[in-house]
This record gives sequence, C-alpha cells and structure tokens, in this order.
Amino acid sequence: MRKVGLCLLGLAAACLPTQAQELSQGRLSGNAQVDAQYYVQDTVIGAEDVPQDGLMNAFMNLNYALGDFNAGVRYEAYLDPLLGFDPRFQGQGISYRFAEYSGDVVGVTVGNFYEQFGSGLVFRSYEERQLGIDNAMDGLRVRVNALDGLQFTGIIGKQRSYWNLGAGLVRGLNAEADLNALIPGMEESDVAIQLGASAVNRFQASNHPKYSLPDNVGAGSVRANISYGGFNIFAEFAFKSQDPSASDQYFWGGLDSTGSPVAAEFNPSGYSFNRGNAQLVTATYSERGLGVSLSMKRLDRMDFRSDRNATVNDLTMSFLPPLTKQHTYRLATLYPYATQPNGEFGLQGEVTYTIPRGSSLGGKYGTTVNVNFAQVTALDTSHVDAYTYESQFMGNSDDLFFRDFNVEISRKLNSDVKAMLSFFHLDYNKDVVEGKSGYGIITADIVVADVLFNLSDDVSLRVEAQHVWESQEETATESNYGNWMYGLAELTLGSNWFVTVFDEYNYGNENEKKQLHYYTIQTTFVEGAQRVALSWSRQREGLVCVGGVCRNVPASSGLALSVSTSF
Amino acid sequence: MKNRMQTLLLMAITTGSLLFMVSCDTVTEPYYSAGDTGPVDTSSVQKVVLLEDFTGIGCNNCPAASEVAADIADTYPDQVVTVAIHAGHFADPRQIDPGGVDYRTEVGTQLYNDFGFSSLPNGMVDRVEHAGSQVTSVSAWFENVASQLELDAVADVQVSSTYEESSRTADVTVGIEALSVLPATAQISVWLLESGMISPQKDNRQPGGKVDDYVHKHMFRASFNGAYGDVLSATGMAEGESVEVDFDLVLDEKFVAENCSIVAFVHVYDELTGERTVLQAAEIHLGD
Repeated sequence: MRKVGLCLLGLAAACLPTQAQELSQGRLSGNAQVDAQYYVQDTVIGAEDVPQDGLMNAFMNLNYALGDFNAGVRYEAYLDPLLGFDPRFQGQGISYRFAEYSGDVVGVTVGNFYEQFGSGLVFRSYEERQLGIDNAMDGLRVRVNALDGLQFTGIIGKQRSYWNLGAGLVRGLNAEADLNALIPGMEESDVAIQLGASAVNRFQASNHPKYSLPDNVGAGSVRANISYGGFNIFAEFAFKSQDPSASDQYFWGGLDSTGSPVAAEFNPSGYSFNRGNAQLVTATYSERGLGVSLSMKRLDRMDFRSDRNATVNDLTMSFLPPLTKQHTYRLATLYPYATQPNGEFGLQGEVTYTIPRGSSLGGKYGTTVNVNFAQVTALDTSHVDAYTYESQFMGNSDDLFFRDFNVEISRKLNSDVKAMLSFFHLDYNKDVVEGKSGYGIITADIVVADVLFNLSDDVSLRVEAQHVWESQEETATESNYGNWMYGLAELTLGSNWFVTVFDEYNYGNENEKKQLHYYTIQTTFVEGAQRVALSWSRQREGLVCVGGVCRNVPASSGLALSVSTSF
Repeated sequence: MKNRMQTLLLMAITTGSLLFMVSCDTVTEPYYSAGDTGPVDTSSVQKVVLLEDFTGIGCNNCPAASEVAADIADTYPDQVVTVAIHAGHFADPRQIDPGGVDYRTEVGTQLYNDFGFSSLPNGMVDRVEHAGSQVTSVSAWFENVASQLELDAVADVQVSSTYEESSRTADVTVGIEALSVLPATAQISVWLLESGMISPQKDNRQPGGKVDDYVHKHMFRASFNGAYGDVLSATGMAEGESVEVDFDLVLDEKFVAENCSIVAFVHVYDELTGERTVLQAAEIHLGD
C-alpha cells in the first residue's frame, strides 16, 4: 500500500523497477478476429452494389491479470461495417476498457463491464457479435461477498450505443444467496436451494409536449432454483413500472377515431401506460438415458431499454430468454422465432430418451430419440382505454406466433457411420416475427438427414440432405418462398483442414425468377486456437437469430475471409 | 456474532439500496394533453426546425410515422418544416409494385447512406445527435423538436420565388441574416418539395397491408444545389451581416408546380466531429 501511495504521489521513477518486475509476473491474454468480405453485385438475388467493394469487421481484446487485478481494452474496426451490421458502427477505436480488482470480500470494476441479473429478465448487458449487439455498461460495478453463499452486486452507468452512450442512466442491485452454503447444517442436504433478487432503474428526463412520460422507470425480479436428485425447478418472476416507449409503436395501437381498439399495429401516438411483468418457470428431470423438461414463459410489456426511444436491438436492458428450441439446420433457420417482449405466452416440453444398446430398437450402439414441442401465442388482452389494457394471466389468445413440433433420432450404425434423422413441423407467424404484412402463418414441414462417415483415422465425411414443404393460409396476400431442398458435404482432413460445400435450392418459389440456388464453398484451417476460413457464397436475405434475438441480413454474393486467434 | 452483525448490516444496506434502485415514477391520468404550446412570440425571429422523415413506399410503418410528423407540425405552427425523403431498401418500387413510381433521388440516397440509416421509418431533427445518433426513431421526434425549439434562432432565413411556366423554371432568392456569428462552414441548401402525388403505399394498419391511392405529402423531389448546398461565406458571417443568394431549377415534367414548395435551410459542418447540424429552416409555396 505504501508503495502504491508513493507512486501516486508522483515518484514514478522510484517505482518503475518494482512495477516492471510485478508486471512481468502478470499474465497477458487476448483474442482477435478479422472478418472481411468482397462483394459482387447480384441483382438476381437482390444483392445490391457495394460501392466500397470490400467491407471488414475486426476486433482485438487484450487483458492483463496480476493477482487480484485485471485490466483490459478492446479495439474494434468497422471499415466499413459488413452488410447487415448497422452503419452507425462505421469507424475504429477503443470501444471497451476496464480495470478491476477482485478481493475476497469486495470487488470493484471501473469502465466497461458486462453483467446479468438472474436469467436477464430485468437486466443483461452483453455482447453478441454475430448480431451486432454490444450494450456494455460504462460505469462502476461493486461486488460484495458478504458471507459464504451471499453475494451482492451493484451497478451504475450508461450502456454502449455504437460509438456513443445511451441516453438513460442505469442503476441496479442484485443479491444471490446459496442457502446450502449460508445456513449451517444445510451443507450436506440433498436439497440444493439458491435464491436471488434484483432491482434496476433507468433515469431519462422527458420533455414530451403531449405525453406525461416517467423520468424514472424501475424493474425488479425474484427467483429460486431448487434441485433434488435428478429434479430441478427454476422460477423467476419480474415486474416493471410504467414505461411508455418506442416499442409500444409496434405492439399497441390505442383506439382509432371510432373508439375501436387498434392492436398489434404501428401507431406512434400509441404509448401504453401499463406496468410490465414476466413469469418464467422451468422444471427438468434427468437420469441416465432420460431427460425431461417442461417450461412456461409469460411476458407482458417487458421490453426494457436504457433509452425509451431506442428500437430494434439498441440499448436493451432486459433479455428475454427463448423458450423455443434454437434450430441450427439450415432450412429450419428459415423460420426463426424472435421473442416478442411486449406480450407472449409460451409453453415447451422436451423428452430425450436413449434406447439402450443391445436392445432390438436400440441396436448395437443404442439410439437416442428427442421429442420437442413448443407453442407461443399472443396474450389474451382487452383494452380499457387508449392507454391501458387488461391481460389474462393464464388465458392465451387464438393469435398464434409460433408452434414447433420436432423429432430427432440419432444412432450409430456401425463403428464408422453415425446417422441422424429429424422431422420438424413449424407454424410461423411471419407478419408478427418479421414485422411484415400479408404473409400470415406459414406452415413448414422439414426433414433432415445427417450422416457422418469415418473414412479413415484422419478423414471423415459428413453429408446433410434437407427438404422443406411450405404452405400458407388462403388469406395470405404475399407469397413466401415455397419449397426448398438442400445438400451439404463436409470433408474433414486430419485435425486441421475442413472443406464444406452446400447448396440451398428454392425450386418451389411461385416466382420462377426466384427459383434460385444459394451456395457456399468454404475451406477452413484450424491449428489450436487459430482459425482461417475462406469462402465463396451466394446468400439469401433472412434473419439471423441468437437466443431469440434476431438481425436481418441482406442478400449478398462474394468472397469472405475470416481469421481468428486467441492467446 | 460478528458474522450475524455483518449480515444484518449488509441486509440493511441492501434493503435501502433496493428501495433506491426500484424507484420509479407513477404516471396517473391524464396521460395525454393536447400539447398547447402557447402563443408564438412574433416580436423576434423564431427558431424553425427541420424534420427529415426518411420513408419508403414499401415501408409498412411509414404512413403512421408521417402522421406523427404532421402532428408535430400542427403542434408548432410555422416552427417546423417537414420533408419526406424516400430512400433505402423500402423505397425501392419492387417492394410494392415492380413497375411503380420510383420516388428515390440521388440526393436522398446519399443522405440516407451518409447519415447511417439502415431501416425505416427513422428521421433526423435538425440533424442533431440524440443519444449518440443523428438518426432517431419516430417516438423521439416530438421530444427532439421540443428541445430544438428551446434554442434561439441564430439566423433569419427569408425565401421568395417565381415560377416561369413556359420554361418550367423556378427562380428562388434566399436572404440570410446572421443573428449571431456563423462559421465559415455555414452552408445553405435549397430543396424542392411536392405534395399530392397519388400512388400505392404499404401500410400495415390497412386491410391487405396496402393503400392503393395513398396521397404523398412534403416529398423531397430535387435539390437546387446538391446534397449539402453552398457555403454562405468563405470567411463566415458576423452578427448582423446579411447575404442574398439566387438559385434556379427546371422542374421535371412529372412535377406539378402548383403542388410544389421551396425549403431552404442553413446548416453548419463541424470539421472535428464531421457532424452537420441544421441551424434554421424556412418553407414557402412555389411562386410566393
């Protein structure tokens, strides 16, 4: 302490040798990635001309750790941003910097940090590079480990908005208690209980000439996780005070000139003054060869941002975890579900069972069957007046947002061949999820076969075949894609080289000019944490979703290079 | 005992902090008022705000946004100039009618790209940065206009025009008086707007998500002097100094002169930040 004091007094020269020695005992780590693409105009698929021809996103993280002290910076460059990323990212510079001390009792972070309270219903600051989301906090975080099993976290600051900060000031406090560690005598209990509570506030002054908008908006949540043997149940309940905001424009239309409710439509004058609430319950059971889970999620006005005027994925404070299965097979990603934060009611059930090896059904190596069902509907609401509405807690309306029934069977056929067969039945409300009109609910039946052949000790080949049969309601005025077929071959050579070729063919499009192939040829080299990938692709327009949050990606054609490393 | 005291103390701090953190304002009725802004003081030059509403015929939510722009203009009579600029993906006629009218312009597209627009509807209020972005969502327009109108006018912009029907030429004279010092980067832009065009427009509030006979208003049609106009004075303008600038433009044969208006606005370019901010705007009907 004395040494630090002297340094702070400006006797830097006297301190340098010691500092250098201590610095050399620390650890420097980081990672870097460059994604560049050369674009070619492809009017057939709607890929527009890119005047710069080439675009690039890049970053490097540098972190230094010395004992209980950590510090780091991140450099980012968007010269210019890749297509699909917000043009406001354009530029380069230090986007993230922090210093942190983590003691046994107290930890302090200054500068930028990411944080999540519970499952994120009232606060999650995070980065999802694939979606162009980075709502990092810039401010102060204090953690206090009050007792074994009892921790408090306090935060204050503003969230990142591209190269600036959001308008609202964010303040929050979180408490986590592990009762088994906290209460004497419970250490050996078969029942494990964790409790948590959070409170978050946003301050943003308002000068709206017509609406009385709250300067302070508060939100809170309580949660519990209880496990016993193979059983686990997690429940979180959240609430939010009145928060009239830009998101109301898309979900609440107030009343029209005749006094009739105008719902689920854009009406910029349609602020809602309802309070928000959310309930999330997940129960799971697992034992060898069997896993069962049941989930329920209900959201009512839980879109919470640090700027009431923010839209799309900007400045989100609440993260509303997806209840539906996140599909990765290419044709199933044509119908991704994005959480509707201002109102939805969802249920999900999933069973995974492994038929024992040696049985007549299980075969020599066993067979795993996964059955999943999820359904999300609008809330059952009725308008009280132009600014408020009532919603039924358990009642769900007939307005379907998304329904998914899927079965996956995977089986090792012999020592060199492993196969997986999937079937998906999806009902997808494109108008709601993608904010479009005229498409209605699209029904898609998809089959996927995925087979892996180990050709030798060093060489393997994975092939995929997919097909989607698509139909729309008779009332639809806009035609969706129609049927697709898809094929993929991925060759793995040793542990370093991968060569992938795939093609999506929209042969069933009603418009013959859109019966197109969308293909990718990619080669990837991996050596430890270093990766280089080069690809030529023709990509369709569509949504990319991670965790129920989506970003629209325009159609593009061209050569892409991705280089990444960590150290 | 020590642990117990410590726990109690921390619990008390936590409870207090929680009460502080969850503080929220409860809004009671009336949530909405007509927004009487009071009489405008006409004894001095009033600040006039430029509201650029970026829009497109294939944009579902844009008609409602235009209604907000109209509401703002009604709320602050003679103090807001609204311009609808068709640009971007959703302004492409293929979004609604492959053979339909294309309202996009080179200037509009350049502004859309230069200011970093990526979706519609969005806009700019005097091109002022709000929460880190000059591009602002519709719900922010009212508050941003109110904030800008709290500022004093730093320039007086007076516009007059004549229209020669035989040559379809619009002659415009813009007089600018500096009410405070204007930097050498101060520029004047003069635009031609047109209202009354009837053509299909997407609107998800309507059955079928479309209005076939939508009436477009305040549409940016052409610029008299490019995307960013002309510099007022290479050395800047002292307080009280005036300049008068003449412009002319031959109207495209598709434009209906009786439905056109002229918008002129003074804006400054900040060489350090690269930002362009509008200081004062004015609008007259063509021929007035």
